Amino acid sequence: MNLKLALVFLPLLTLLFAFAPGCNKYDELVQKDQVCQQAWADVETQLQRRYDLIPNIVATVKGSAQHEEKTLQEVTQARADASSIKLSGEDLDDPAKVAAFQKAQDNLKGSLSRLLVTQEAYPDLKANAQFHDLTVELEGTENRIARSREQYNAAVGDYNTTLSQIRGSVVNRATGKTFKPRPYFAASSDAQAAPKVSF
Amino acid sequence: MKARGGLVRALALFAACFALLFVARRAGAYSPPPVQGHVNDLAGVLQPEERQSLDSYLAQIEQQSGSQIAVLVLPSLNGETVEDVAFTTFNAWKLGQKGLDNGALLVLATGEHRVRIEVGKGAEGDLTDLQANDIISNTMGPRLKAGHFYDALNAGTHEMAAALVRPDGQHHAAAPAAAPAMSNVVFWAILILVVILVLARRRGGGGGGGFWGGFGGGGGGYGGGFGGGGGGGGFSGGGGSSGGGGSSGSY
Repeated sequence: MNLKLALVFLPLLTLLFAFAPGCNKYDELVQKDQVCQQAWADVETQLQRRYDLIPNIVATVKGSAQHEEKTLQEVTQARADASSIKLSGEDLDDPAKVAAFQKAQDNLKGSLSRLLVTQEAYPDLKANAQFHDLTVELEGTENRIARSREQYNAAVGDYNTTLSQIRGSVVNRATGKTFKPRPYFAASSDAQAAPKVSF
Repeated sequence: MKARGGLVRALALFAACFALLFVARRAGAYSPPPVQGHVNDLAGVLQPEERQSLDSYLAQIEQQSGSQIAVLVLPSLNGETVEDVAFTTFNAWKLGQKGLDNGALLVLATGEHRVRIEVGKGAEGDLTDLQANDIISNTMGPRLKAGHFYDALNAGTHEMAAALVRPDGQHHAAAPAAAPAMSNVVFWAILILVVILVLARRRGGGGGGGFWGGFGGGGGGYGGGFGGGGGGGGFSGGGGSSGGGGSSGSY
C-alpha cells in the first residue's frame, strides 16, 4: 500500500517540481512583456502630445516670421511623416520597423530644433507670449518623451535579459518561441540635444 | 591547450563583466543624496533658522494636503543636466503619496545658475509646466539674481504649494493599499498540498480531516506580517514618482 502510494506520488511530485519553475519563468516573461507594452503606450502618449503642439507652433511662427516658409514646411512634412508610422504589438519586435519609426521621430525633432533657432531673428516672435508658452510646453514634452523612452528601454532591457537567460530561452523554446527579443528605442546622437530655449 | 583556451576565455568574460560594471557606474554618475528633510541644502546657502522655517512650512503643507514638496540645493551639477538630476532625485526620494504621485521637487544648482521644478505624475494638472516656468522665471529669477536665496526658495515653494493645494486645503484621499500578492512559493505549496490531499482522500479515506484543520490554521497568520514599514519619524518619501513633468530655467 505504502509502496504503491509512493509510486504514484514520486513521479507526480517530480513532474510538479520540474514544471513549477518553468511556469514561473513563463509568467515572468508574460509580465515583463506587458510592462514593455505599457511603457510603449507612455512613449506614444508623449509623442502624440508633440504632434498636437506642432500645428499651434507653426501657426504662431507663421504670423511673425515671414521668411521661414521653408523651415515651417519641413516641420509640417516631418510631422506628417512621423505620425503616419504607427507601431503596435507585433511591430515592436521588428528591428527594421522600429528603426524607421525612430528615424522619422529624429527627423521631426531636428526640424523642430531648426525652427526654434530661427526665433532669434524675429524680435516680435521672441516677445510673443503665446510663442513663449508653446515653447515651454514643447520643452516639457521633449523631456517627457526622453523619460518615457528611458523607461521603455529599461523595460525592454529587463525583458530581453530574462528572455536570453538559460531558463528563459528554454521556456521560450518549449512554448514554441512565442517571445521575441525587442529592439531598443534609442535616441540618435544628433537628435540627442533637446531644443534648448532660454529666456 | 584546449583547457588553457577555455581559461583565457573565462578570464576575458570576467574582465568584460567588470568593464561593463564600470561603464554602467560611470554612465549614472549622479547619485541622489540621502533625503534629510523637506529642505536639503547641500550648498549651504541657507541659515539654520531659514532652513528650519522653510522645512516646517513644507511639513505643514504635507500634513494639510498630503502633497510632499522637497527642496534640493546643490553647489554644482557636476556636468549633469538639471533635468536629469531632478528626475533621478525625485524618483529616488519617491516624493508624493503612492498612487497619487502628488509630490514636487525644487532643485537649485547655484554653480550653474540652473533651477528646475520637477512635478509628480499626479500633480501635472495642478502645477503645469507653464506655471512652473512662471514661478522660476518671474518669482524666483529676480530674487536669485540678487543673491537672495532664502527669499527665492521661500517664494517659490509658496507658489508651488498654492498650485498644488486646493483652496479649501482639501485632503487628498489616501490611495488604496495594494493587497500583498500571494508569493509563488505559497501558490505552489498550496497546489502541491491540494494534490496530495485529493490523492490521500481517495486512497486512505479517514486521514484527510486532520490535514484540512492544520492547513486552515496556517493560513490565518499570513497577512499579518505585512503593512508595516512606514517612516519612523522625520521625513521620508511616500512612494510617488515623476514622469518628467515640470520646467527648468536659468537665472
